[in-house]
Amino acid sequence: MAKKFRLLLLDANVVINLFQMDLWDRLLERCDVHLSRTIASTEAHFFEDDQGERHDFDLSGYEASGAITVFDVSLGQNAELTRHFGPAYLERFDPGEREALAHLVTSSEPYIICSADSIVFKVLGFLTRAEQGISLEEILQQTGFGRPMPWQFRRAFREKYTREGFRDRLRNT
Amino acid sequence: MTLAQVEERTKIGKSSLSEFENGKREPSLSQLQALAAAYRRSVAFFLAEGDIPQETVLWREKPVARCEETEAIFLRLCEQYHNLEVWTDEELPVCLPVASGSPESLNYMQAETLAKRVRDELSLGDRPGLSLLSVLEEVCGVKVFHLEFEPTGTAASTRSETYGAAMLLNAGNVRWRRNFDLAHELFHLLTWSVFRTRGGETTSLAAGDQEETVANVFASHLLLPAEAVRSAFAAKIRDGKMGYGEIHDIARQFDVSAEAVLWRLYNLRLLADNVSAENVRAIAQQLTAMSSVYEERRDNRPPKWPQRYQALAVKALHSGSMSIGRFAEYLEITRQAAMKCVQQEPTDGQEVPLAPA
Repeated sequence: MAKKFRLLLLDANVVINLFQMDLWDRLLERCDVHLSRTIASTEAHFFEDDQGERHDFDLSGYEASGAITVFDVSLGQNAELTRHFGPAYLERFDPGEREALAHLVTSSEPYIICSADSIVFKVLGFLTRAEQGISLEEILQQTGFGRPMPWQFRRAFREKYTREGFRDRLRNT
Repeated sequence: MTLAQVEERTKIGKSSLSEFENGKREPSLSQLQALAAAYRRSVAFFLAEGDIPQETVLWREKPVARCEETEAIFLRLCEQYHNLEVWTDEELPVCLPVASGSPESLNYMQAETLAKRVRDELSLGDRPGLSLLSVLEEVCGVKVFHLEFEPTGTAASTRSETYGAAMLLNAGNVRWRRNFDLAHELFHLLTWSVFRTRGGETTSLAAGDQEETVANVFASHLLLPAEAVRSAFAAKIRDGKMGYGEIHDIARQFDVSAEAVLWRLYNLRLLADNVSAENVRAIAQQLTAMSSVYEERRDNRPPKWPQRYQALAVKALHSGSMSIGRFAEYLEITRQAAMKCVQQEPTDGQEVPLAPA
């Protein structure tokens, strides 16, 4: 069956939320998920339930079985991202997110990134790559798992910060 | 850090680390980020070209264990605080009185004069110990952090071109001890250019005995203003005598130790003429031994970072100026706890109505 989303990059917050909602495995059936090395190995490895209890998960098995693609980013790719934003600005990102954005910016493939971070969407707006951003709410709706989501996973969140990023671009040029 | 320690912290094999070091192979971005985290540095630090300014930390006495690590944590906290200021566009310039002169000219008298100047210029009033920390953090732009290290009697300060003025106090100390350390380290910040730099270059790091003694005199004068101490002393005298309990009462008023009060009374010549410094030392020991009987000020353990640091982090997160993961890292909370801070849609544009200018 053809997957609904190809070349889908997720940030650690989204991965954790999917495990928390018990949707991770089902989403993988419908999406072609790509994770940066740091997200897969370091940033996304547990979630806390409503009672605050910790539940560990391990993405290495998914990588080994080919259920997800884990990619490494070179310093050359990082330099390309730095060219746009400067080294100090990039300190604002999670390490995994920074890798995902460097990968997206330097790839000729039409990756899209799903994030719960406003700064990611601001970057896409700034780079006039709004079409390469998507919220978890939109993904779940389009894959048949739609449900009410917290603010940072909603489409309105993505749109708000993408607009802000675009406005920043206009102010800076 | 040894190669084995780096390997353990980064999960990068020793052979790869050697290849990076020898320039035979370039690390991936994830490996570089792991190395940056292990060394408590930014990725930008590793990729920077040209000379990198070395931050200098002045210790009263270097910690016996994990000195390098404690210093690295302190400088990383300074960097993070600075980042938050930049990201929120709320940089607070260091605003402290400037001491001038030569190291030789800064004697006890100068320390007393400087203490009075600081009290006046910072509007610290008659009980400076009650407000000194807040004023330094919120008004003067001094970054004050608290970590635990040994020996407890030590503290550190730095005056960096990049991060501004910062201090590191011992979280394991009781509050009045931290207050004294705060005033002592303030002296080093105020006199940084006198003792540490010549023509913009750092020339001397270690503080000599004389400088340390003058710093203690400054701290005593700053926290225990003569007139205010005399008034408090007069109010406590009964039939020409004063018990240990009353000394503790005065110490609480000024938020200093009973020992500090006793020495101040001695230096202000408020004790009997036949009381020698040796007598004061003996009484101070008894006062210290009895401090827990008279008071319990050991309660409030200080936060690691200033409240302003945390407030700036929340502002940066809400304005989309930093990521959730960075926010979690800066506040040392889990990513999920950080995510809860952005679950609600912010109420943009809400402002307090002001009177027309």
